[in-house]
Amino acid sequence: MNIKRITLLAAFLFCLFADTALSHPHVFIDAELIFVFDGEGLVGIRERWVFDEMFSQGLLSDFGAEDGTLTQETVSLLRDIFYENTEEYNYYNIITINGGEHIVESLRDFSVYTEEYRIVYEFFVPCRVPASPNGETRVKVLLFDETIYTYLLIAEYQADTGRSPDALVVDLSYEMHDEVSTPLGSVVPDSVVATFRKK
Amino acid sequence: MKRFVILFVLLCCLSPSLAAAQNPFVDRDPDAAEVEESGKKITPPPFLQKVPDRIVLWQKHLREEMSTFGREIQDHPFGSSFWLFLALSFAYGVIHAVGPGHGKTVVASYFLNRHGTVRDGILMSFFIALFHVGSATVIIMGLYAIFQTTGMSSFEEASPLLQRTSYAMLFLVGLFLFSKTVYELVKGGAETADDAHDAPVKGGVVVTALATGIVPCPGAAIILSFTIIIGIPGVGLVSMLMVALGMGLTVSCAAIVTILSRRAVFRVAGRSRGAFLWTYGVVSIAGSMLLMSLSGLLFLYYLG
Repeated sequence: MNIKRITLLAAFLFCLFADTALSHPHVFIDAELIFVFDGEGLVGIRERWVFDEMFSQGLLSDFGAEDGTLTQETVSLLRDIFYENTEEYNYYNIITINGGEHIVESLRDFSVYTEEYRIVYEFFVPCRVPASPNGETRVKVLLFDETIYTYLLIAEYQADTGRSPDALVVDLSYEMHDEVSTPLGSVVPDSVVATFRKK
Repeated sequence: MKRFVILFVLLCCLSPSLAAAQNPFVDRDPDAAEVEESGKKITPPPFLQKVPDRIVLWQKHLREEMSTFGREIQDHPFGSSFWLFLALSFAYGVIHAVGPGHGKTVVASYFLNRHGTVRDGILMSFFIALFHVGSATVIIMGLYAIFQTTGMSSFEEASPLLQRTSYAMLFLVGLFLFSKTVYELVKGGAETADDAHDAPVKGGVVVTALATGIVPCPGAAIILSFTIIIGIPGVGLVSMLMVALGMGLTVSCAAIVTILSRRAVFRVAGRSRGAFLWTYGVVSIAGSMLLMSLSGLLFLYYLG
């Protein structure tokens, strides 16, 4: 391969990479998911989003809460802004139930607080899915902001079967999305899959 | 023929990315009412699989480390944390600029249209990065000086106006380059590969860089804002320079590969006068049209 071909190939690869790399988030969130079950099946997902420190400090400064103390008024305002801006995107929750899309009608129990210089959002995503007596039910949760302004990483996940611990068999697994190769390596968006059935 | 196919693919790959987004946690979305009317729907993320996760994670880790070092600088202003903070700022600039909106497409368009030396490419790239980060720095420091606040809300209020200004200026640059190319073709000035080394437009590099870089970089603004909030604004200002240098390095790569590619293609096409004229016309017009379409679309997007 001569130098011209190498140059053209390099140009192609760089430009291909440069344009497809929509890796331009300005907010980074570590998310914790708790799948809440009762005796009938899945009730919903409790989510805890921990924002990165730099963005958190900017947000606190915006609302005059540099010391980390948030008034109820501020919490309500943050909730309203969050709801209004993310409702269109299903609150960044891409949920499928046995392969079918699930639309989140609304969120519940929203709260905001600070923890070690970071803002934390907590809320409950209602998602009632009865366990089937005949087979396994599969609920997949992927957190994703398609505008790429926010990057959400599922840092932790667990099941809460506290209400009826013996009624269901629950399995949670971290699942890679379809792996795709790029010039910089493979891309594996993550999601968590809850599989459950009645005992 | 293969080379032309590669060039065509290259041009397609340079098509603009309309990945514009607003902060969903600070400002109310003015279009929220429209969403209510149009009904809720889940929009599947079609490009999800194309996102290079690793790059995003690097940025995330860099920001986390910089936050930690920033806190340490509060206690030990000139300890190792200070130098590490600056080094990571540079790395952040390199990686952050890999994403869209940092001038790679503009430099590629410009140097597809115009002959340039590698030095010109590097110069324009670093000017863009300096203007891009400098714009964010001026806004954040200005807000701090006037209102004693560094919040992102005010920053983002200023951004749309500068974005529209930038895209309008870039459209005019593209239009000028297009007209100049058509004039040159009609006049029949460029008939050999040597002629393709046309005289650069006076001030073109700086004007194009200014038009591109005037849009403030939110990534840099978040870092500077953070340093002010935790009481190390001086470190923040130095780190802005490092971020700009890192960005300039990445954008330079786009400029250099375009300049070398254009040169290589013209050298090959230059063996035949007909092929050269055809190639010169296609490449130069494509570059200016790419710049016009990119800036025009983005201008209309932000106007709406």
